[in-house]
Amino acid sequence: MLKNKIDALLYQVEKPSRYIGDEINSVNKKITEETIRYGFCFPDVYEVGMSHLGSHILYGVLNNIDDVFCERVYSPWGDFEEILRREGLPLFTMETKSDIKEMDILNFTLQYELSYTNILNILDMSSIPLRSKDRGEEDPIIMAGGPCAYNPEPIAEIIDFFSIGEGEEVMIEIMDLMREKKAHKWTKDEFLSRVAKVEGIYVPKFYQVTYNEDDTIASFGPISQEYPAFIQKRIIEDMNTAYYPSEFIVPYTDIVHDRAMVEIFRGCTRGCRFCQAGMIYRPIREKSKEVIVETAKKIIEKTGYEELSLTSLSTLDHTDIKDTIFKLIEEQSKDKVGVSLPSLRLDDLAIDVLHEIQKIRKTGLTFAPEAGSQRLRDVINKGVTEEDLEKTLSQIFNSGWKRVKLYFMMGLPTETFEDLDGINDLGNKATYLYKQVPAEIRKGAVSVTLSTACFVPKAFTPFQWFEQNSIETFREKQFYLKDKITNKKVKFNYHDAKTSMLEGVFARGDRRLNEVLITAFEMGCKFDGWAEYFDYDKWLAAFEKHGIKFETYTRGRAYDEILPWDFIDVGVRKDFLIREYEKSIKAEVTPDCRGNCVGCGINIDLIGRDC
Amino acid sequence: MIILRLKYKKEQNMKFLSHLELIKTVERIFRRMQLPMVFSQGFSPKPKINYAAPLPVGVSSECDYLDVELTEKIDIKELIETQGPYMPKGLTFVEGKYFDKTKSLMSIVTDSAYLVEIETQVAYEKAQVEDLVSKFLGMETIEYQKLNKKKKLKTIDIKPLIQAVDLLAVQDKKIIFKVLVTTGSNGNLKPEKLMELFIEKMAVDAVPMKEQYKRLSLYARDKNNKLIDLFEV
Repeated sequence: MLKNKIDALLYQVEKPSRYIGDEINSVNKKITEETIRYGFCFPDVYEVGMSHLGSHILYGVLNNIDDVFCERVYSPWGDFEEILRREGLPLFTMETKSDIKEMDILNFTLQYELSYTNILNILDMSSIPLRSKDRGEEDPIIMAGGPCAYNPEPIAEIIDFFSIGEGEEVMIEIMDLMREKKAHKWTKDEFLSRVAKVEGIYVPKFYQVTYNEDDTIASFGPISQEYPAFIQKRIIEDMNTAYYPSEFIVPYTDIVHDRAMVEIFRGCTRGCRFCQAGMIYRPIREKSKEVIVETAKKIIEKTGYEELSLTSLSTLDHTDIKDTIFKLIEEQSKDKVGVSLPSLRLDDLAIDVLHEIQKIRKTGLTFAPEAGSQRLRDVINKGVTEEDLEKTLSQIFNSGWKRVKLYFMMGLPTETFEDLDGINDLGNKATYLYKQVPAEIRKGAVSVTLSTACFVPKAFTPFQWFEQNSIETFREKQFYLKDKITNKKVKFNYHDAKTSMLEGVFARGDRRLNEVLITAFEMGCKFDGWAEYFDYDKWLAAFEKHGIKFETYTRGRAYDEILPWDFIDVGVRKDFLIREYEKSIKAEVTPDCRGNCVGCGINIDLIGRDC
Repeated sequence: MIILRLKYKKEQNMKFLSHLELIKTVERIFRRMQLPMVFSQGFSPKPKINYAAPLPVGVSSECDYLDVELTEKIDIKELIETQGPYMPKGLTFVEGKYFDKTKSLMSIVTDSAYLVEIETQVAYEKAQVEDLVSKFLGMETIEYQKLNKKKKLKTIDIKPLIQAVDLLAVQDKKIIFKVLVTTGSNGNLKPEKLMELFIEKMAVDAVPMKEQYKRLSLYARDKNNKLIDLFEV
């Protein structure tokens, strides 16, 4: 049995507990002829994959269906992969240690572009052909979903079909068709042509694309009238009644987010112009305080977690957030369960909430002003003012915190060196504000970390037409700021511009990238998001082999150009995005749209009511 | 103080849990069971759970102990009988006993017994191995050298740490021993070190084993230096 062989090899690998499976709340089912075997693949290591909330939700949705058995698949770390390949063993599922090739369907969740080579590696480890067209009836059907599926084209020749939007409901519809496929012995194509008519499903082989001489797209559309010209994303209407698991799988090993997660709403009303999540996850849909508190209680009971985290975009925007947090803390402190929040906005509410949280557990503080100057924060519509920042920093220092991390982006539209100076100024301001705190409160030295990421324009944002900064420009800006920051209490971190370049290429890429990706994989690229694996030279060689330049995809674009993702309908209209881009150049802000509709289109086009 | 001492098994794939992973896993088991645990004070309260002797990754155990401090007594029999749904496969509570106060488990453990196995390149006769063992144990000192923290070579004699080496079986190219070695604050000998030195000193034609052995039991010693169960301390 494969299981015995794998168990015997675990003596030789780093951190074997991430491969053993059988965690509390993991599911095991009896497998019969009728069982739909489903492999849920997260193309990164266990510690990363297990931290992803969406996977836990869909694992529950799928295993709640009697005749569906959903098992998990992760990328093994390099040492284990080498051993498996040497021993001639395939990649396996966590639950039953079956060859992933035995699954009826494999679903890849696409959380970041730099995980694409790991998809290929997962297929390759079980000898599944990489290209959709090369796979036979005996190979599993390969599907994909998640945020990167909003621009599916760069992997459209690898994946058989994509699910666009939220998966809780559509997954059940897909399983209904899988059941029929098995019962009626449909061929893969018979299945695909049916699934293509399910709302939110995109089957690339039924769509055709042509190009102009200048590398832009000339036409894109279905090959036949029977397939929809636009794929509308799926959403869950009511979060209060939507499925949410309480029996989360509890890992043995330390994972990235090792805590109970309670989702409190979907969508965001802030309208930050750089933020893809803020656009594609519209409209805003909240869970009520009662549902949140009840869900939290159940999860803690079933998992034994010692920490609970509320998750959503801009978490403190929940209408009832203060009462919800106070109630949770009241309920959970009896059992010594800590409550934590993801990155916060720097405003008054944050302070109130932090005071409350501090009673149980003291957490490190991370804030994201995103840009150093007020002008640039207006450009990106990050509605935080200089005054907010000062007030909040001063208050947290006065409450006893001394370590703060501030996140920024570099390479935003209209950015100048003065805007970069603003990042340094904020670091200095923070250490100055710390010195103003009465000595009896101050404990030790302040530590401020300024962390800058390279801005990558994403599909469906107002900046989707913007030209991404070149590697050289990013470097110049990074070195400029590095020289500028001389304050000993301030640490400066920045991202590698090369990985951001590659991310940018795939984020706005088209179908021609499929072959480049396969070539890069064949040259040995994998784990591109991991510094110890990322090999820029191999990527350069792969692009060169196909005569494709990075700039073809990172360039600025005209409003009338056909974009590779135009056929996907996220509910936010293109004219809204253009309006927002125009306003951004003039540093004009758009207010939060809660109770003050700014006309993005989601209410008319997708939900047919007010948000 | 109400201290519940539990004897547990860590077998099958649970042997791949590191000690830190085990600590986290057990805390979450007790939380799911809603055991009335005593927590430390401060910003990150931790339950008061102590372990006897950490095991290396890959080593299973038929008999290990932990102490957990409780605010009130619970029925031990019920805990043992209803543990099923709370436990990952391979981890089992076997027995429990209450103590009012006790020295830390770590400080009372003196010896541990292991089942070890070595694979040889050629087949040995049982008598041959018996001979090697008695020769090995008859050595005046059993020494090896090791770099200390100051990066200086230090000679270590393991002979006083070996309490017993029993030959259980010789099958094909496998030799199986049961060994009893000193464990805890008065010295610590790992079975793989013992076997490595046996193979080296006696020129046994075998590859040194890694962590593929099993802990059989842990002991303390009474006033007369007699081995006793950790429940009898």
